[in-house]
Amino acid sequence: MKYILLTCILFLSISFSSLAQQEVIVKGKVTDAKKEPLIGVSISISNMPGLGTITDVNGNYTIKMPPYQTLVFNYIGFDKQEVLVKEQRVVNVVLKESEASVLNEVVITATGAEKKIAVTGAITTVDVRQLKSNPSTSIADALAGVVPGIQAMQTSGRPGSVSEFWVRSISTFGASNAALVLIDGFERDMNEINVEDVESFTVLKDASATAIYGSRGANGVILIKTKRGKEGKVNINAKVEGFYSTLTKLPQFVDGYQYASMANEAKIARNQEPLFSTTELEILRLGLDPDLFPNVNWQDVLLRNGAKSQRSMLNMSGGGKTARYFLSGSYQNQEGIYKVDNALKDYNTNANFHRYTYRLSVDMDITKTTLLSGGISGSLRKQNDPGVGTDAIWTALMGYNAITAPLVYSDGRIPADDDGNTNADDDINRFNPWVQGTMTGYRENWNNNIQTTLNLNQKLDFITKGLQFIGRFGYDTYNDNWINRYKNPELWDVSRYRNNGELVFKRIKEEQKMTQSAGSNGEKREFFEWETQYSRAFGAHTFGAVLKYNQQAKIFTQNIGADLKNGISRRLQGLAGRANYNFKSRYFFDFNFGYTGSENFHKDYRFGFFPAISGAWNVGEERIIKELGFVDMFKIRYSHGITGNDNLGRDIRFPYLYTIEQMTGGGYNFGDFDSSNPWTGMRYSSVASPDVTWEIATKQDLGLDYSFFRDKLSGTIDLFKESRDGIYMSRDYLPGIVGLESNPSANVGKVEVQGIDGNIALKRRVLGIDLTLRGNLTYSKNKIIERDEENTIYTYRLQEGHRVGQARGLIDLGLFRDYEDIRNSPRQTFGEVMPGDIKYKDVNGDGIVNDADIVAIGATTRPNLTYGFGTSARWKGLDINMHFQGVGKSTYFINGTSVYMFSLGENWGNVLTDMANSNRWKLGENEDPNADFPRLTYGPNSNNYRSSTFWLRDGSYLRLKTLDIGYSLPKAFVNKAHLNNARLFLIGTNLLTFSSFKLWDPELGSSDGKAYPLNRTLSAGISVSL
Amino acid sequence: MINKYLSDLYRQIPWTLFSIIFLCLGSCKEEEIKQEVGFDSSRPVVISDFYPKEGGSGSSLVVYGDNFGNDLSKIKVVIGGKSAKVIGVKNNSLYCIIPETAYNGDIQVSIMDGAKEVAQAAAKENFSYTRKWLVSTFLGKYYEVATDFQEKEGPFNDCGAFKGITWLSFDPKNRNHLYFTGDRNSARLIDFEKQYVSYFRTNFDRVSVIDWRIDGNQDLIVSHNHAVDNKYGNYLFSRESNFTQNKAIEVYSRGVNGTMVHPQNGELYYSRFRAGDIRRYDFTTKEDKLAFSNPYSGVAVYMVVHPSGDYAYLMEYDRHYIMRSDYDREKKIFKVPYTVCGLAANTGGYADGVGTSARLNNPVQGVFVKNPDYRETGGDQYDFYFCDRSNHAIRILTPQGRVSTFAGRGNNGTSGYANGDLRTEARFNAPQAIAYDEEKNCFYIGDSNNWLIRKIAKEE
Repeated sequence: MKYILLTCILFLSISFSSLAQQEVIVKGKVTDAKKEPLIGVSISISNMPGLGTITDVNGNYTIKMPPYQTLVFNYIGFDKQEVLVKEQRVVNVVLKESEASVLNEVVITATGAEKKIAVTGAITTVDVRQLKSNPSTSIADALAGVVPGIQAMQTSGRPGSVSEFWVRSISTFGASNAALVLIDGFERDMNEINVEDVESFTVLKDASATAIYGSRGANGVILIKTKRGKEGKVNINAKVEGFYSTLTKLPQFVDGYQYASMANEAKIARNQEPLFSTTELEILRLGLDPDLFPNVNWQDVLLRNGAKSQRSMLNMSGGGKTARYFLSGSYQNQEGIYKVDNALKDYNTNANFHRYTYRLSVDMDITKTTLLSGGISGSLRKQNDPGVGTDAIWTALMGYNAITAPLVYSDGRIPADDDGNTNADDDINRFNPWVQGTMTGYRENWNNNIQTTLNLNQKLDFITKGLQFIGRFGYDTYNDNWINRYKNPELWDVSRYRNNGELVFKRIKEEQKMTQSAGSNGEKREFFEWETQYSRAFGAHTFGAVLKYNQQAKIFTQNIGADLKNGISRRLQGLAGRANYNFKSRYFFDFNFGYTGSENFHKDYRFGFFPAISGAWNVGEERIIKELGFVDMFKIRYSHGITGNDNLGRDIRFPYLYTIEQMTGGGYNFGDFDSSNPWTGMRYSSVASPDVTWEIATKQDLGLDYSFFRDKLSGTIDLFKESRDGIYMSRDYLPGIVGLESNPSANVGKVEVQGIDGNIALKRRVLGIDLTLRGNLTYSKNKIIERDEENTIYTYRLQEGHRVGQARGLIDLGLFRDYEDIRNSPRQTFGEVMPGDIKYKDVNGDGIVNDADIVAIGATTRPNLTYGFGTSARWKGLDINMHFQGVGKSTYFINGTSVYMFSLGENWGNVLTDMANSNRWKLGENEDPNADFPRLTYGPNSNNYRSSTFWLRDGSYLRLKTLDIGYSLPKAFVNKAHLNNARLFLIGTNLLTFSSFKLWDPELGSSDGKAYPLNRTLSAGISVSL
Repeated sequence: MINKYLSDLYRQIPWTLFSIIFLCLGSCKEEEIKQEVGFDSSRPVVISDFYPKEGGSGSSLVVYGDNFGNDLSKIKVVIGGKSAKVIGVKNNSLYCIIPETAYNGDIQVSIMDGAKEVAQAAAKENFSYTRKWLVSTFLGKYYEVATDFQEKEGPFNDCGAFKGITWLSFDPKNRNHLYFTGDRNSARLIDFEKQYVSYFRTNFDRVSVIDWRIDGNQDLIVSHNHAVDNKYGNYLFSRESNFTQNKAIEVYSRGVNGTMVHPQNGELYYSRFRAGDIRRYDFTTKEDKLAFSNPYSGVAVYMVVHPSGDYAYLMEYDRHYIMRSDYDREKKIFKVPYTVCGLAANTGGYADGVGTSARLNNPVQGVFVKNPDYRETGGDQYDFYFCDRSNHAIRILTPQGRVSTFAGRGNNGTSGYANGDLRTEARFNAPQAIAYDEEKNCFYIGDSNNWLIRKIAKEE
């Protein structure tokens, strides 16, 4: 090995020295327009491999090079300059500061890059830097409050989990509301991608921008373009980060003594015998019986204070005139928050997550007019979990109170709670959290995915100027495998009393040695596209046209089961086009269309035509406005068009076909009475819905893009309106006389959405500090216009006229004051009531309170308003970036075993400290009709424990989502280390949260808090480029 | 000045950042050290107080004081001269269980080192010990692991456990022999003399009740509970053959759950589940006829006749109430019954009270027990103690129709397995069968889901 290495080094040095013989030394100085020397300018030789060199503190450089080559000078913020070196040995260069202006800003659209000024649709380009500070592995987690027009919700903090997000608004209740995500032009998983590989991130929101995607663009489209190599010297970037995450907010529960005292209080409040005798309470207080009256804080037992993670990334890019490359790799690991049994050496039970990604792309100029690009990228994601899974753990962590069971009985037996249910799946929720976390084996889950892309771009100027042809081909494979290795120890439940001092044990589960189960899912996708583009300017007139054909197929390759349908590819096909015209960059007209088909529909309804027109008037280019001097851009745009949605939500295929099955229950009997001679016939188990087709979204968008005072103030405002027709849903209310066994589906629903989104940015330089203030907002309101639902005499009970997912419940009028109050109030039909129970409003005035009094209350769980604002400041090498994110118009009910105290009775369910110590109704102590919580009940209470405004909580919050402090080491210092740039940074995520809801993290949107909370993360790292 | 300060600060930034980064990347260790106070031999052991001040065998006692140490193996508590089981000890308090017959109630705490006593303290006050009725485990082994169950014959200390105990019955000629049926499981004979439990082999797949003829040898009547219309339901096992030979009572009867024999006239009554009636069979004339119809069919009716022969109670198992049928001495037949307690319903309930305000849940076997308090008032001298199966309790029905709870449901609970005080501690799990031994003044309870025979007796 040593010898091989030595030989290599020897050969290398020989080749270097042989090269050196023909080289000349070139020196020079690089300055800016003001003659100030520029430090760290990267200088490379065109079409030559190697790192090149950089200028020193005084702007001087020296480089060895063969003569008659071109030197390339690159510096961030300055225009690239190339100098051909002939005989001269001193090359002094003055670099021109590049003019970063909105006018030159480029936006990626469905048909390629376009100048922002020419865009007529509602398109948001996201600053990728803002996405990078998020510690999560998924880009989706970084979107909320950063991107105007995107609303997102992070419902779990578990490593590897991803946010749910949607563009602008949820405008359908039938089919899927997920946006179409295209990476490098093809439909791919956003979580696949390493944020450092992203070149641009664009959200297409209105019909004109998405019409080209035809039957799939209705929910908005996200375009992600990955980085590609650029001509020049090798560019290496590396970044290493370490994270420390703690949970933002864990529900806090009372200790054993308070739990037992309140259990007694609950019993007494309902005229029942107390659960614990005074002697038992005393024993509990003194901690004298750790078996029967333990006092365990399960969160302390199972959860760490914090978890650590690392992320590292390396990419290289460069190339010459004829070929360019980009190569990147990243690794990230997130540690789960569970404590592990240190004695367990063979495997890890923590909820860990690892992700490796790689990406390689090459661009080759085969001829002067032909560009061939190829790319391959992939990822491996590996997720670990305790044997019972994370959901079971959080169920138990919230369900186990301090006295349910000890960690281990004093004789070494392992406890579990017996719910009396023999269903095995149910049982794993009842193991105590420590057993679940450490004694049930472990699960592993891998995802490995590979994406391949090949592009051919041929300029056809020889036919006519401005014409080009692009062909794209993609082939992706997705595989995921899981192995569950489950075991459990022998588990015991003990009765809550002693028999002559001895514990009364019952074994509830026998020991199970480790068993293994495994499975896999696989999928492959094929894409093919060709595109002809034409763009040419004739004086003041600019024309452009695009015609595009695309097809794609997706097929399951593993775990396809016996259903023949699963072996058939899911295919889509479409033709799309665009024509645009502009006059003097002032007046823009665009026509887009998509003609696409989906195999989901009968051939008569398969293809649909989705046109959109849009126009823009760039007022800023008018002479009068131009003369004002301060307007860089002021553009009004409007679009109107239709797009579709072919995703039927549930995994339904070919709804236009019927299903025939054998009859159940004997069939037809032949023969006389009492002689059994049945023949089973055939029956329709589901009837065909041959007329089913896609949802149609008719969208309008009125937008304004502006930029004033040389970009000091810029922003966008969009007003949008959408009407979604033909929402696919099942006809649940057909009369029985029709005689159907299953409910057919049809395009019957209709939803309307209106809203606004926009952003604003303010840039100033004050006292040498570059300051940016920015804000963005998305607000939308949807309304169901039509829906297949049961007729009712009370129209307020219909979902029609309300939001999609509107919360519904009774209206509370506080608590009953006394029996007099109960007698004088409308009769409540949910069960016996006492003073201190919740009093409801009799909405329809019929004298009784029942389900007919349920009305729409509050808003929806998913927020209708998302906003973000932040500031960045840069001073010398120091930069600070602060970003706040908030949501509004979100409400949800709280319920479950910890909110409904003692609702499940003995052993199960917990009492939240905040609730226990709140101003709650107490018999004889605090009989306040306006108390925060009603009279306690031990066991279920069908009057109090139901959805009503009493349990409705405001889910709005504002949080300091990220705080990013960076320090770029001084150039002089960095250059000595032959680096281009080095930055140290500290990032904090979810540092502060402001919300009126205190019980758990409001962003989870959880009704019972039984979820892995979000993380508060501190990270520190270093990024280096050379 | 400020500038200099700023630039100083500026220079420190990289090092601060570096150190924070390394702190973050490095690992932190969390360890908790908990030290509890142990026994200090230089200080005396003190008992300052205890709680509660009174109670009986099996009740919990918390003793307060100082320097008890924290090692359970080194502490010994003696109450009334009896060693008490200590459950937990912290330096300033301990928790123990009052032993049986700790009549004196004096409390002593000793710290032991092996067999040697290191320190000792006594309470100034005595615990007031009350003698009371207690539930104990009489026969059988409690299985923590259900699958470990063994069915076997054997001496009292090794006789396995008993599934399906349905009916307990003393041999009227030999009070040392107690028989019980096991429904689909084996019937047994408990021999008090030999201290041995053996099989009583009937060769029927399902045996509901055992009864005795009053005449002749007092042969044993076994009811075969089956669901066939044309099969005999009751059999006579002759005493002559030592209850090994049987002879059918030749009347087809399906679903016999309860039988009774009139104590003076000796005719047999049996209930039929599906038919929903009570029939009368005369051993001498071999006549079988309807005594009366039960208000419901599809009900298991268990029957117990009053020692006087004046009336009988009918436990309507599936309807959760008890009826009474008076005896017509002229016609020598029981008359149409009427409700005495509980409410006929599909679901049972639990409530003490009089007549129909009381709630029962699957009443089964009962037994008449003479109540000395009634001697002065005259009239019916007997209370009726019965097993309220799904309420997991033994209940009392007085001649006036008042229902109260005698034993079970300790710690305000329902089912379970616990001995001790009848109401505050004891728990049963589906008690079905009950027998009363007048001589020893004690009850035997067939605790069907604990698979045990429990005993209720007063502490001597």
